[in-house]
Amino acid sequence: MVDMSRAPGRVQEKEIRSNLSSVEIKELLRDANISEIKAKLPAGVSQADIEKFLRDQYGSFRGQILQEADIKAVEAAYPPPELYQHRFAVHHTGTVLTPEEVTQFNLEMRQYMESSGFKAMAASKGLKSTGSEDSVTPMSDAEIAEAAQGTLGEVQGFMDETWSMIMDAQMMQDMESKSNEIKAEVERIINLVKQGAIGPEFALIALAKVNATKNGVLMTWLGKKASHINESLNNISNDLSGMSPGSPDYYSSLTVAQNRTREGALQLNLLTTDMQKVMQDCAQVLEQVKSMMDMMTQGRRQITQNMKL
Amino acid sequence: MTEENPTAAVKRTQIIDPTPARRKRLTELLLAYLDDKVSLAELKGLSREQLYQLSEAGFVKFKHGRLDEAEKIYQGLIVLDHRNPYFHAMMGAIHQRRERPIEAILEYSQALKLDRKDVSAYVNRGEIYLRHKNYKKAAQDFRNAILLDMSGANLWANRARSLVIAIKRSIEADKRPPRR
Repeated sequence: MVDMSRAPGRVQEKEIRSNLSSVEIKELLRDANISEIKAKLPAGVSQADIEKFLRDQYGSFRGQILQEADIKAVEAAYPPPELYQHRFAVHHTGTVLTPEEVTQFNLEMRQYMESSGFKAMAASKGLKSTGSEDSVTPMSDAEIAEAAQGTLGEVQGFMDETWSMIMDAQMMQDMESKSNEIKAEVERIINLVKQGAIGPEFALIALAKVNATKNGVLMTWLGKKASHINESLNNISNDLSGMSPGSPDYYSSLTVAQNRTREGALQLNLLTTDMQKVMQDCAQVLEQVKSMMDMMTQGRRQITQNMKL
Repeated sequence: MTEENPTAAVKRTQIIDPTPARRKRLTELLLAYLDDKVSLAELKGLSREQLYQLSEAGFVKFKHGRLDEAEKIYQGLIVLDHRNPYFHAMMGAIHQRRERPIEAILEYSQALKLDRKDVSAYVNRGEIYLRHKNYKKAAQDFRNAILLDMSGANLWANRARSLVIAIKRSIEADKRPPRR
């Protein structure tokens, strides 16, 4: 029986569940409509109670078993703008510049830049125009484009430099962490060798591993640098392919691109040489370890042979 | 300054004369622009709805992986309204997808500077920190995101909850001695 005086909650849900779990009701749930089910249920259970119960059951089935909806976001995803409508601030009216105002603004700025006060200020800051020595004129479109290009170049240079510093710092960090990792292992092996628990060959192998690990970090660093240079070469090529061969700047851009490509190729060659050196060092150490192990084996064999005699 | 009326904004043509008044208005507008009180979109007469529509178009392209086009749209939107944190956060997400972590962090940080309650920006920035083993900053960002959604309804906050476990595992893996 359902006590309707109780507050709705888990108890009521449990009671509805117990009422709905009889075989007769289960049969009705398959075919009959909700009014027929209600007629079979004890008094006090309303149609709304049953509907709510079934709705909750369906909700928990979808949420807990089917799990159709996403539970968490994926990497680098971001919600659509409709969830952030509040961030689109209402625009102020009365701030729109009319064409006349833009013209007047340009005119005023030009007049101001041609004024004696501005010229004196510019001269005090060491600014000189391209024309006469004492006059400062506004920049032409070509000058602005050139200045913008120069600034872009500076930004690019700064990014390149920063990137290189980050790479170096990462390499140092990797080197330090790998060295710490391997140091403990080497010490353990050397102790075992000293105790006579394992052969001295293992100490050689451990030392070779130290060398190989350090060289591995260096190779990764060089590889990343090469990859970055390769990417910048691709960018140069893409920039050039985006230009029209008929454009007046095409020839100068082509020359700059050729110079940069040549410089990049030279850097790549240097990096390849460094990589070869690292690999040679690695191979040399392995070769030395192998020859030392051979000598030790040979020495042991010699001792055994002498003992037989 | 009054609030925007969409129909009036389109029709409006302000011609202020005589020149001294116009000069005063121009100076005020320039100062407002320099003080971040007015955006370029407002000076150009672009409405909030137009920016929103552009943003929706950019989001659809971003969602379907057309990152080049989405990037161009959001670059333009940032120029038009640099005070909108949504544009910066979307730009951060684009950079993150294009594996440009430094730029992504800068954009997310700008978005968070403008809106301290952006759960998604915290989580995405924290994830970049986590991938670069900056566990402290990652944990701070995830903490902020989780605190902003205590109900567990926000998908990004839920991601932060699972990434906290990833931080713990990563720290344990870093501390574990190397295998013999």
